[in-house]
Amino acid sequence: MANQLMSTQFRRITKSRAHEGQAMCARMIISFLFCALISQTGCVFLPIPTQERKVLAGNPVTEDQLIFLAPNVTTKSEVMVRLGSPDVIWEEAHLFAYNWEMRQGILLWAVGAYYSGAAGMSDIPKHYMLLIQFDDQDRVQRFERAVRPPYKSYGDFLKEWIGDSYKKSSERLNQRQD
Amino acid sequence: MKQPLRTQSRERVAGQRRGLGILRLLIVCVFVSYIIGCASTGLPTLKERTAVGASEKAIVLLRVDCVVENQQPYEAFKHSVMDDNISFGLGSFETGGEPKRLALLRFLSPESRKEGWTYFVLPHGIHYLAVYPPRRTDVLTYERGLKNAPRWRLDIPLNARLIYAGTLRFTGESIPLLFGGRIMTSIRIDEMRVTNDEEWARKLLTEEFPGFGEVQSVLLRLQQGPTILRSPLPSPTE
Repeated sequence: MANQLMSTQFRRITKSRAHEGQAMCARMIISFLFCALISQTGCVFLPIPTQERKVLAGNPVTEDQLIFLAPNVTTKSEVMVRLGSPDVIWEEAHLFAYNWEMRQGILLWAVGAYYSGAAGMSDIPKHYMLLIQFDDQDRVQRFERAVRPPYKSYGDFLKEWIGDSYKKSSERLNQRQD
Repeated sequence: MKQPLRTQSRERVAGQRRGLGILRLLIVCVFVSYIIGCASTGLPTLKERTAVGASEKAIVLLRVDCVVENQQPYEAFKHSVMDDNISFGLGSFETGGEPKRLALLRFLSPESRKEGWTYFVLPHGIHYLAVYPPRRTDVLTYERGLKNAPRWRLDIPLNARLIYAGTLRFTGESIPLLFGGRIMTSIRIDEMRVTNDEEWARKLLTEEFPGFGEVQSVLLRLQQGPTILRSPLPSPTE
């Protein structure tokens, strides 16, 4: 009888301890999740389009400035005299690139993280390029005033442009043969 | 049918252990996800070593030696993490020569790091390096500063495997930190210069990479004039 009583009490104590253990585990998990949530970060970006008036970098080249360019006629030195030194030269492709950036919008941003936060305003640039390709005699072969999309790297854009040059020249050849 | 008390107790303990195990795993996962962006990397990977062995890439060793006001020494790579005491931008054909922030700096050993040595694994061609004080502002403002920083041209010749790019020496302005030490805020551009620690570099590189042949010294040059890019032409079928 005494044994039965003791065993019942022991079971109760064990059950209550089991509940305590579960509750403690739950409390620990809740505290952990709470701490983890506090440490989360968040951010807000708001782009506002603007007119392209502000020059962010480089010297813009207008269409009027390109009137002197004539394929197979204008030489490299004439280009340098009129437009100045290029920003980039791709040697293998005999390519000159003039780069400039115009502001096409403003980006308002705010970032919150942990116990701190920051906010600010940045210009959204539009990447313009004047690309001029020369032939082996240093005469203008092809030129174009282009806009590089923000998702495309500079190198990929140049390679694509040169690839496009190949296509156009082969089309011209085909037309002549026809 | 009731289970014996001992079995219940064991199950309870096992349940608690499982719970604690899951909790530990969660803590480790969160910790790893936090530090993953700032862990410094060590020696070149097997893939990189293979590329260097095949002369597709080169290991480029560079030393930075800087002082701040009153010629106080300033350890360039004190923390070996992102946004260390100085940071680098690297530009190539892909970026049009424009330096983009290097997220991770790499070191041959802790001792060489303390002496200011770092290295890059780069393909052959022309690269442009910009050195800038550590980031203490938003990324957009910082990237703009890096873009306008002086660029150093690095020419990696074909078939070169081990390159020493020089020792970049400069003086900077700094401010004290709250818990001691100083942090650089600007670099005196006019006083930047490249010197030659070739023997030291040769020793470090040949000890670490004995199978990669001779070390070539191709010192950094301050970039002036148009940015020169070199890359093979795309094939007409591309």
